[in-house]
Amino acid sequence: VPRGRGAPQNLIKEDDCMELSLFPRDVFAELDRLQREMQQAFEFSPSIRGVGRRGYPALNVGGTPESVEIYVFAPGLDPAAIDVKLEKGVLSIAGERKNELPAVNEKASVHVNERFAGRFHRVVTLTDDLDPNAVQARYRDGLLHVSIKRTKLRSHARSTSSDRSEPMNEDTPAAKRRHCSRP
Amino acid sequence: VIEDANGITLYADLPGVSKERLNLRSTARR
Repeated sequence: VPRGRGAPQNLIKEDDCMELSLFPRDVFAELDRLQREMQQAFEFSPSIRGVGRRGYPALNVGGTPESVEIYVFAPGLDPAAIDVKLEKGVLSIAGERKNELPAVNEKASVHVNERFAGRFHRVVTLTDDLDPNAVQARYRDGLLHVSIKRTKLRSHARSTSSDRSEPMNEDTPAAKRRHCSRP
Repeated sequence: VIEDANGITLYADLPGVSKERLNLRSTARR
């Protein structure tokens, strides 16, 4: 969104460079932001079984008899700088989003700051029937879609969140090594 | 939401929404 013109000048304090304003804020949005930051700090990772903890970026994970589909909601990224890896059924998505806040020496007021900025790394433990050579990733309109083919066709579609036929790999040392916190 | 001498800038994350399908309207408060 381009910067507008004609803002009332008296709303900008002359003596402050950048400040967080005292405007009333959405308390729930602030709590959500804090939850996301705690999520990043403690490096929780969801599995394909649907552990619904939240972090950045938000993920949708689902499956078909032929593939697993992951949707990563991460606008504002350089597609070339997104790192997607699949190893031993563990999908790793890493990248960095630039901080759009004004520099400290700029005379500007930050009224609301809910937008995540910085490095991120999310790890999702998937099933072990995926073909690492059949991974497709496409980034469009801020949405990253990763599609991974299965090595063998499942007999019938099942809910990924109730599938109990395969072991979870989330606590393996390799999976833990891939977890990364924000600097 | 950032305000500086040029005006107010809003950054809104709307992944999956193309520019063509985005409807943005600003109404002055009186």
